[in-house]
Amino acid sequence: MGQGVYRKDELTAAKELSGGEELSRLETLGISLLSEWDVAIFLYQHGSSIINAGQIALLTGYESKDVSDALNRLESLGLLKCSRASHGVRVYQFMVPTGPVRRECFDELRVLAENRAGRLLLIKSLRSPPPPRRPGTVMVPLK
Amino acid sequence: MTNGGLIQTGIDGLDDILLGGIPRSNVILVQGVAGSGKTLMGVEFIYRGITQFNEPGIVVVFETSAAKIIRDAAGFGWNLEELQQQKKLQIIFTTPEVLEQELRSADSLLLEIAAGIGAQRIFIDGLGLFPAAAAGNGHSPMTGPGSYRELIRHLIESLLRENLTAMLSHELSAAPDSLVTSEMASFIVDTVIQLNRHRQDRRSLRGIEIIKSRGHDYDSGEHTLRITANKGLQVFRRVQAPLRQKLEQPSTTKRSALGVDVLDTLIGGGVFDGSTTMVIGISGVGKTVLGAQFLLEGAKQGKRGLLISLDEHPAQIMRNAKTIGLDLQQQVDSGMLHILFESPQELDVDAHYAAIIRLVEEHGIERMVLDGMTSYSTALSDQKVYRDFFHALVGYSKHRLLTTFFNYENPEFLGSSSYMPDFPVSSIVDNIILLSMAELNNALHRCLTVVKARGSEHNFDTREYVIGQGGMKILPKDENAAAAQSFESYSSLLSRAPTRFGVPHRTTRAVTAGGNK
Repeated sequence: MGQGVYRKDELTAAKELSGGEELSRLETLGISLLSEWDVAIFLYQHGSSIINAGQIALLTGYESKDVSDALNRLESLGLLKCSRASHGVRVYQFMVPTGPVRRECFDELRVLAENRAGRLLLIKSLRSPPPPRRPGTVMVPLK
Repeated sequence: MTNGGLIQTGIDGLDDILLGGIPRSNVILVQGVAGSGKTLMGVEFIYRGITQFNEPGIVVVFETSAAKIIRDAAGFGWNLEELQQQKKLQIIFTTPEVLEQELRSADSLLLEIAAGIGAQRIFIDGLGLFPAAAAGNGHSPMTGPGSYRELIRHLIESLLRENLTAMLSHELSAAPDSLVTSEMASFIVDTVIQLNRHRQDRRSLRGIEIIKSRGHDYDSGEHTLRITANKGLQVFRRVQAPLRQKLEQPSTTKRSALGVDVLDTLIGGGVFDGSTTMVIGISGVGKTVLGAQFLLEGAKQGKRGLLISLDEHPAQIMRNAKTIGLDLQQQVDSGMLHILFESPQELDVDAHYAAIIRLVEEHGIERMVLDGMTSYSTALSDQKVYRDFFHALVGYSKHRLLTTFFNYENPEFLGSSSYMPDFPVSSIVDNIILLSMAELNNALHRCLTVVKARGSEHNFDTREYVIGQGGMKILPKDENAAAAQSFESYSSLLSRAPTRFGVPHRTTRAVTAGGNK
């Protein structure tokens, strides 16, 4: 299947959650940044990880600081359990939401994000972290 | 848990070729190409440890996720998620660098987790990724301080210190680094298990070989490995592997009836229990019928039977037998008879042999019919494997005192110039019964000759038989002796041109070595 061509059921799933529903689910979970969502899914898939933010950043394609922020945010939301630090790493364990509403929100969003159409909906709904500023670059406002 | 200081893997058939298991403190390396089943073996090692031996375990992965391990394991019926919830299993994602550091540090998070669940086994998936970790330390990746070799040694020492029985996987590839690191790891660890994949014609075969295992003996050579849905890995000992039983072969002077009255007399009073008989004849001559009667007679004597066929499905075998009044179904229903059918397509000889042995052992089989040998010849393209299978089966039958019939389809329609032209193993079996066709006055007649019966005073007469209700019946010798088609009136019945005598021929008796007088 070529790029930009989606299966009918993927589109149906995406449409079912369109119209701002995915946004409300993200709000229920407390996730506002794409990096938070991606780090959450990374940790969900790996269950328990002994790792640090820099290594997660390498694997997810974000900046270390964004991952650190995301980890802190997820922990504060109760979606992540972190161990003590040992030589710069911690045990990160994703905590599936226990409340029925939050659990349902998470499961629906997770299924939605499994296909490209759903992922695009999430990207639209979530803010991306600001791009890293390279040394020597000057931010020029667009006219 | 332990078996004389051995740790059992719990993987079906693997502990058997390891002669019980692996010495407890041995570090195990599983190596193989991509897709050979390394990760599965490691995960099953942990799973079986938990579920069969109550030994909690840890799986450490670098390149896959716990979600995928859990998903794939579910395909074998293993609920890893539940084991994690029960704190008997922990799947941990990390990097080789972190693992290396973790095993060095006194306050290791990994070892804390291991202690928390009381882990006794650990599987680390991806030892081949460690050179990068070593290189990351700023040293040469292969030799010297901080080298790959030192890193692996350190890893092993750390695991031993924690009393963790470790299984490590290493991918084999054509890349020079992979070959070097794999070989280096092989030197250091105690047990090396290699998983192979071969292409034979258009099929893919899996193999497993114990390359080395310190501190105990094991079955050498390459055995068959299978990945079976809803089960996991299965290892089948290669048929060529010698029998493990004591060298003395049991023997008995007890004879049993075959189920065809006159044949018992011809062969010298039934066959010895534990003897092997080759029934040779062209297709349609009645080999399967004779085999069915042999099994039914066995059942009558209280001897459980096994019929093995690559040609006919059990339902068809039972239907055909019933048309001539041989009720195999009743014996199957009562558990006195078992039928093993396997398609000759892509027959896996090690697995097939193991299935036969399992049936014999589980059901206390005393009579076995293999119907017929020719299908094995076509199913097993390698004649050496075919011969090895036959030898293994004969050897096993002898040690088990199993009375066995092998049906062999002779390609010659009329006349027999040799017993088994494409499979000359007649010297191995104890008895040979030749079933032939003779053409007399433009009519085909079935005839039977006992051409070999070790240790027996048997009769060389060629006798006519018919197949009808009740199965095979040998016609009375002197009946219609003067008739034009009486066998007594002919000579050279086994040639292509029988000749009429006109007077009855004498009876010929034979005594073979060690036989009765």
